[in-house]
Amino acid sequence: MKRILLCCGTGVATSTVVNKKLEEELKRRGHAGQFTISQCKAAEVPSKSANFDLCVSTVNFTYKCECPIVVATGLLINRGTQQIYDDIEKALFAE
Amino acid sequence: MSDMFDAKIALFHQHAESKEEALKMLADELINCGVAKDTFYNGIIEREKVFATGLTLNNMCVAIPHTDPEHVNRTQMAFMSLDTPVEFVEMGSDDKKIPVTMMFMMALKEAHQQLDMLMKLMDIFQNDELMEKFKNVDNYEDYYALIEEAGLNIEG
Repeated sequence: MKRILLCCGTGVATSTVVNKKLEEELKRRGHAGQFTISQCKAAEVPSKSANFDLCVSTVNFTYKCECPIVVATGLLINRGTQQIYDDIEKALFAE
Repeated sequence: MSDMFDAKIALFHQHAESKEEALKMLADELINCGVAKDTFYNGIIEREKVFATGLTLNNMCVAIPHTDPEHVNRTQMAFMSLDTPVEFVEMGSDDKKIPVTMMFMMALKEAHQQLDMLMKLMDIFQNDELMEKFKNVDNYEDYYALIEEAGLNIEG
């Protein structure tokens, strides 16, 4: 089971939108049941990220992160989404 | 009517010298009608400094300023269009400046509650025809009709 930590500035707005979209896309790519998504504020990432396989952020990221990170602002408004989903999928499931 | 727009906060075709001035005008409306707490404006400004909320769309740039739920009494959306753009930093970038002509300011009380509305808003941002209507609207009646047309008036 891959653990994804999804963060945004407040942990309640844009990360919530991306959560839904990311879940749907990963399921569409055949990864249903292979991942869990947790949500937090970007400021909480340094203390939480060690327990995750990948951090996905909707905001610019300057904090310390203990796992790989993908900035995914484009998922909000469908810009460059294919590349972002590819990067996320690769980071999580590529062997 | 009980949705994210029932406080009827919308300012049309405004002029502001800066992002801060524009944010203050709209934040004060939310504070004055009790939707947001007195700390809301500072929360919004601090958030923009660390994580900017500007978004580049097909034909225009918008911003979705919002801040932590602790500054908010109840969930609402406020709208402001600007005849002269103000500079915001683009979300996800460190310092890329973009000329914003519309703000959709969100007072969000808790996570998940407003997911449908937020997802719909992001869809609308990609609908050039609807965005042009938001840019041109100049009174609350037409604005709310536009909210309904866009399907944003979801019970909250």
